[in-house]
Parts: sequence; C-alpha cells; structure tokens
Amino acid sequence: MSEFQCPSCSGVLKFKSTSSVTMTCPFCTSTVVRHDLNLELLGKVSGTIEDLSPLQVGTSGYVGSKAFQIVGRATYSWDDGVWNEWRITYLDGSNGWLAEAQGEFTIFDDAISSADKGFLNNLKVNAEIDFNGSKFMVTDIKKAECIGVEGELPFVGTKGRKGTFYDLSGFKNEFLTFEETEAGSNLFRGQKIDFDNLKLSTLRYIDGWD
Amino acid sequence: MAGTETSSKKVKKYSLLNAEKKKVSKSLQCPNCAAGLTLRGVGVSIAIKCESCGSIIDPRDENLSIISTAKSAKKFESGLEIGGKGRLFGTSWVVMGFIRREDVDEGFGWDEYLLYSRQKGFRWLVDFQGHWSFVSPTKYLPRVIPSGDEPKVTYESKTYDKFHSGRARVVYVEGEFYWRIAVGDKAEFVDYKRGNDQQVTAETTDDECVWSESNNIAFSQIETSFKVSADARLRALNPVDDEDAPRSRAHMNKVLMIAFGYAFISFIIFAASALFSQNKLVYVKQVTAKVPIQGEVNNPNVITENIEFTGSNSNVVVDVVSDVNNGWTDFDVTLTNEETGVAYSIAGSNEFYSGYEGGESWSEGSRSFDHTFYDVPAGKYVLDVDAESTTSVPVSIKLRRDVPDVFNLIMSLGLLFGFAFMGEIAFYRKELFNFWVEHA
Repeated sequence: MSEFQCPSCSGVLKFKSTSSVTMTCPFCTSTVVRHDLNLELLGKVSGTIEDLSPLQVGTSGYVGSKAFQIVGRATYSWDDGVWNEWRITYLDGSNGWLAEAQGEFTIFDDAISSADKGFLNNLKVNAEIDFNGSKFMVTDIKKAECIGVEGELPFVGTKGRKGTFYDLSGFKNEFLTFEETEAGSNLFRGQKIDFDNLKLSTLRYIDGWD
Repeated sequence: MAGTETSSKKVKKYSLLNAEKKKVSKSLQCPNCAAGLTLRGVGVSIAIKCESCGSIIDPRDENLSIISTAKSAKKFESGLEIGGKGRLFGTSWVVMGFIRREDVDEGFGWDEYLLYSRQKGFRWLVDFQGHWSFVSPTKYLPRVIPSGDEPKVTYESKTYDKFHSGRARVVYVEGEFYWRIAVGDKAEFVDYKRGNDQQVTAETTDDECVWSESNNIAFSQIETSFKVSADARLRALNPVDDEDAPRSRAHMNKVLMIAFGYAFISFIIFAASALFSQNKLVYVKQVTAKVPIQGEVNNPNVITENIEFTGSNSNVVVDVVSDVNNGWTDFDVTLTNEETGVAYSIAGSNEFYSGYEGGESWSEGSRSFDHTFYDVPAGKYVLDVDAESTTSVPVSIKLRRDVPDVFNLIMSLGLLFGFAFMGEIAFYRKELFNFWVEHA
C-alpha cells in the first residue's frame, strides 16, 4: 500500500501515483521522500506559490476519454515569466504533466525515455528539426528555476532545481519540451488543449474572480 | 481503484484549505517612490506600472526590481478602465493593462488592452483608430510559405496573404503585464490577411517571435461588455476609413509603386516619341515688322510662301521672336492646306519693356512666342504671316515639324499629382472632421 504517516505531523499521506517519489504534506507542508516502506523527512519547505490558477492538487478532468487527477505541482520562474507544471495521474495508472503557461494548457506524456536525443544538441531559437516524421521549430530557450512545489512529484529536490528548457512548436497541434537539469535531461511530447475541453472539476475558487 | 474514496475525501480537504484564504491580491510598495500598489495578477503579472511615478516594477521577488523608470511625460488615456470586467464570447475578462503603440516609420498609433481570464488566459482588444479587433495567441506556429516578396501563411488549414508589415514601438503603458514590458519596446510585425476580417500576425523581437490571430469585433459588442471612455466611443463612431486605415509602409509602397510606374511609363512614351520624331526645321525666315499707319487698312502680309510638310500627321510648332524693346509686336500666323483649304491660325504678341531706375535695371514681358498646331497632315501649305510693331524691328519666324511634346508628359504627371492630392484631401478631411468634433 502507498499509505504513510507524515513523520512530522502524523497526518495520513497517501501517494496516488506510483511514480511519485516526494510529497509535500498538505497538513504541515513538510516535504517527505518515499523509500520502500518508510518516509524520509526532508524538512519544511514553504514552497507553495500563490497565484490565480484555477487548478489545484485534487482537480480532476479528462484528456479525451481518459480521466485524470492532479496530484502535484511544480512552479517555475524565469526572467520573462512563470509557469506551472501539474503532475497528473490517469485512472489507468499512467502519468503525465499538464503545463499551464499564461492560461494556456499543454498536456505532456511522461518523458520519452528511449528517444535518440542527438538532434537536441546545439539547439538555437528558430532552428527547425524533424522528430518522428514531424517538423518542429525552437520557439524558446530559457533558464528557469523551480520556485515552489506542492503535492506528489516523481523526483527529489524539486524546489530550487535549475535547468535549461527548450520549447519547440510543431506546425500543427504538437509540441516538444526538452529540459536539461542537474538531474539529467528529458524530452516530453504534448499537445495544447482548451480549458473547456479538459472538463475539469474541483476547481479552485477565488473571491472576486470568475 | 482502491484509493478512490480516500482521495475524494482529500480533495474536499484541499478545497476547504483553499477556500479559507479567499482574496488573492498582493500589496506592494513602489521601490522608486514608495507609493502603495495593489497587484491583481498574483503569480501571473511580472510587470506592474506605478501610477504615481511611472516606474515599471517586477513584483515577483521581495526586492521588487525596477524594470524601468518613467521615460516619457506623454500620457495617453486608456479607453477601457484598468481592472474593469467584461464578458465576451462566454468568458469573463479583466482588463489588466493598456498599451499605446506607434508605427515607428509611419507615426500612426493604436491602443491595445490586455485581457485576462483565470480559465482562458490572455487575450487582447485592439482599437485601431476606431476599428476594434479581438486578438488571441495562435495555438501553434503558423507555417510561412515564402513566395517572392509576398509570403503566405497557413494556419489551421487556412491560407493567409501578406497584408502589410512594419515596426511598432511601445509609447505608453498602464496596468499589469505577464512580460517585462517597457516604454520603447520595439517589435517588427507582419500581418497576414484572409478576407476582410481574419488576420494572423507575427511579432518579432530580438528574443522571440510571437504569433497571434485576430478577428474584427463590432464596437457595439465592446460597449455592451466594457465601460468605454468617451474618446474611444467617438473614435469608434467615426472610424478612419478602412481604405485609409492601413496607411502603412507596405500600403504606401504599393501606391508609390503604381505612381512611379505610371510616371515611368509616361516618361518612356515621351522618350520614345522624342526618339522617333523628325523634329525637323521646316522653315525659318527673318523679316521686318511693319509699323502701322493710322487709317490704313489691308496691310499686305510680310510673308506669303508655299511650304510642304511630310510624314504622317504630327504637330507643327511656330516660334516667333521679335527684337523689340519698350514696345510690342502683334502677329498672325496662318497655315492653309492647299488641297483641303483647312487653315491653322494663331494670333499673338511679344511685348518687352526695360529700363534703369533708382540704380537698378528692370525688364518685363517677353520677346518670344511659340504655339503648337496638333495633328497637322502632310501636304502643301500656304504660310501667311502678318506682323506689326511699334518700330520696324526684325522678327524671326520658325516652323518645326514633328516635335517631341513635353506637354503630354507634363499633363500625364499633372494628372498623377492631381489624384494624389485629391486622395490626401479625402484623408485629411476626415482628420479635420475628427479634430473639429473633438474641439467643437
């Protein structure tokens, strides 16, 4: 079972995604790391970022006919903006990310592990590349830092994590994000999805805003 | 799933936790002038303008870095209230910011309003001199298809044609933005149009290229959704004509191209006619003008002579120069076709006066005269010249055949400038009317 007691406040912590390695205790905001049978306390990291996102840990929705729930969140900041990466776990046990940048939502699958990433060397803005038969263009290369975490995440030490993020857009609705961080490099593939099409429930209410 | 029940409980807990801290807004103190600011777009805006000192501040870190301090005293009025709410296309929007931009090369300006919805993100309303449009970021990159000077763009299976391009500069801002905006920010833009009301635009700065799509929106829709200032309303009720609206470089280039093309063709026609014309001196003679005697009539002509014109129908230029001073020469020149009897006749006079007065010499009038007969057929003609003068001065008569005609070129160019001038008047009449409405 993936149910634990918070080593700090004894609150019941249940990992919803089997891929999760860390969790922020919702009761005392301590960060814990999951080992086989016990939890390691990393200490309190007041990481939650206050923003206007309509999403929250616990929000559920659909990608097509696949139901998902948000289990965690990492917020990144760079010189010219802020974005959220919501960790989602599907009802069938698979996982992914819902990226939220300036109110636009992109659904990413889990990192592509087997991909030959050779083409990602020396990427420059406006460079065009081929990937799996599709053309992509590099739209953005930014150095960003994780400024806050919440809920469950599949890696340790997320807050303060620095990295270089490459955003690539296709000429149809498909996107690639390549991130190089201290923990390694990962390639993600995704597509944009309308807020309405996500059919979200348990959204976050904020007074004074629709 | 086994954990579904417990997780739904947890979901409720999270919702409660969040419901406790209801209001989300952030109070800041301007690091430049210490005025109080309230940030609406918490965790969203990364630039906010201080209305008391004009600085633009990054609200993210506690140190509140200053992006820029006030650069220009020039102020523009926002047509929509910053912080005001409005419902458009089924979504409730908050007006977060106002940007006044200008075309760097042409100087005309327009207003942009940044709209924010928690669910839909950012959109813009653009007020281009009374024409409103609703602008969204494109979902993905449109494809540019180069084809000569006029590239096309495909996006969502639709093709757009290049419409115009230019450079835009931010001249004034108010409110909050999700990027580090500053007065003076420049971007190159290229507009691509499909039909009359669909457009995609690429805006390129040093760092990035941003694509957006825009659709025209009726002002009545803006007015029912948002509180609009009196000025913006007036602009919308009396917008600049659509044809005049894109007074952009591209548009002007097109107009100039046509004008230059027209002028060039006129010149070529002139040059060709000059090249192929005979420009032949048919007749020249110097005679002495008669001095009229009071009471005498039917003075004989000074010249009566037979001449011949060759070639196809063309012009004949008559030059009359009289060496007259402080007097006049009157003359009649007639060319009569011997076969048909058709006569070409012109009367004229040269008057010339000069003197020396108060240490300065002066002169007025002219000693020479010319006239062109057009479309004169070849054949035998009788030339009759009658010339009278105040004194018996020498008069030179010259006939030239098939002379290249500058008049056509001048007429042609005159017509061109006439049209251009009327176009300008039509444009400025509108501007003047606007000015009058505003200041009456």
